[in-house]
Amino acid sequence: MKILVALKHVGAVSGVLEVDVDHIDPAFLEFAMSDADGYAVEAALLMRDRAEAAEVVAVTCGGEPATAVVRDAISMGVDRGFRMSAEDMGFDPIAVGRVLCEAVTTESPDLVLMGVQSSDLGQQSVGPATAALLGWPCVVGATIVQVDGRTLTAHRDLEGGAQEIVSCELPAVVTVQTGSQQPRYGSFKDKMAAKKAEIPSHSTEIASRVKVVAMRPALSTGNAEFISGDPRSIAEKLLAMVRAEQ
Amino acid sequence: MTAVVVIAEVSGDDFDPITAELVSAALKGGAEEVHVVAWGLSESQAVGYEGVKSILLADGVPNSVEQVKELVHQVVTRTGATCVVASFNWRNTEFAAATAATHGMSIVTDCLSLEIQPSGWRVSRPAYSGKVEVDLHVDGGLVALLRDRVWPAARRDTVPVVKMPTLTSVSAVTQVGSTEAPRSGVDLHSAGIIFAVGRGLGAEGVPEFVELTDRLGVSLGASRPVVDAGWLPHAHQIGQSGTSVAPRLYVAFGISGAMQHLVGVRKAQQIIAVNTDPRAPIFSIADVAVVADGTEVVKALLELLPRS
Repeated sequence: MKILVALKHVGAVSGVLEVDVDHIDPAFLEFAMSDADGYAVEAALLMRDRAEAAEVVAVTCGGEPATAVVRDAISMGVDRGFRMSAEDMGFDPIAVGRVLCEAVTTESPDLVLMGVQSSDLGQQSVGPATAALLGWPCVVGATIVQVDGRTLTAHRDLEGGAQEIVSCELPAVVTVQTGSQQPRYGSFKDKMAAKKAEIPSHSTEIASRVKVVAMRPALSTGNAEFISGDPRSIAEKLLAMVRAEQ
Repeated sequence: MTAVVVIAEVSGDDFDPITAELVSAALKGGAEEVHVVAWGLSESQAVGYEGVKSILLADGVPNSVEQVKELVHQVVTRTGATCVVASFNWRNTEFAAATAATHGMSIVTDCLSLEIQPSGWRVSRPAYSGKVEVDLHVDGGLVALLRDRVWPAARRDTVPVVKMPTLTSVSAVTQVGSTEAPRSGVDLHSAGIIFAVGRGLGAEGVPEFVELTDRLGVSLGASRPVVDAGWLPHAHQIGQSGTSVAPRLYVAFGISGAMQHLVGVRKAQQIIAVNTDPRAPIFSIADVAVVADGTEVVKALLELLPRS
């Protein structure tokens, strides 16, 4: 059984922010693997640990800098990785899904895993889109994934701490929710080895149909009334507001 | 003729109020024909909205994402719609992305605006964890999941109801078991006042926060990272993959406000947020914003509330 784990290289805005018409200067961004994708890698590695999977392969869609997340996954323990060379696709999950279909054609995995959503946009769409394009079953938001033969079983969180257990036949697409199975970290030695790993790239003809035309800092203050002062005076004001509602 | 299909949200025996916002977004966005798709209502319960051409009522209630996809396929084919509009929630994202992929449409979630263009659609949505807002041009058809409380409500009006054919698709994913929620005694649904803790207070801040909610006599909530880290049980989790709440007062400490959290607290009547980062997205929906170290404020509150 072979698992393909799809990873997104996401940018997070650090402190100061300047928006230049339709993009943010990369100097203001810190890039990393999307949070939930780390849990997808962990779920795949646990399956390999339990001998449910023989090979775990990582893939990302993006420019050259995105290979960083494939290296991260290799330092965690995936067998190898590659990059689908695609630019400016971040806002078009369907295009990403189409690119992943090409990766699936190349690799013929039995299972495709990825995070339930990206940390930057949270659209939750690449997984279901990829599954629909492949005609494969899709399980969204799994916390535990297990495979027995050709049958996949997954646990999903429901409201208030209840869980449901669902099942489908392979091949399948599963999106993984952040949860209790914390992603492992590679040792310093693993990280050095991952730096040297060869990360092939494959080109694609697929282009995004969703383009950024303008960008601006969000009005993050909304209509809020600001309260300031020392902790004691803030606490007194908060307490008065709570008591007024009790 | 630009037709837009609106996927209704239903609660009880009527449309949920969000449906009126979806209809209004479709009409204001430039739709010439709006059709509302619904299930779980009888023909007489399905009272529509001004400007809506028809209500397309499913035969029965779809029992899986596959059947919702099938229903949307039925109505998109029937109406020739180039845009499908639904509410941005956990349940809708799966069928929406699959529908978009199947019909060669694009998908944009958490939309804050929607406007028809000569060759597609223009929408805006948050990016970079809500710190930025982007305007997007979408070439061709679109499935748009809209944020609630952005558009005004459309007015009610009786419109023709059309019954759709029986849904026949069978899901490839089956439920084989479930576990009950642990008995926690936590009922966030009906809580009047909730104090919620986020990652910003750190593991060491959680016991003091729990003590504070005890002394205040308010309910205890948490963000997903706090629950994932094992600092509090899942029953306390608020947001899209936890519990959606509607208290009179919601007070968030050290919660930056990921979209999935904000979705779960929007129905609170009053929101107070305490965060060290003045740009934290939680402030965008707060009525009262406190830029301060939550840990210090918790300590000060505990000093004001001696143990009885």
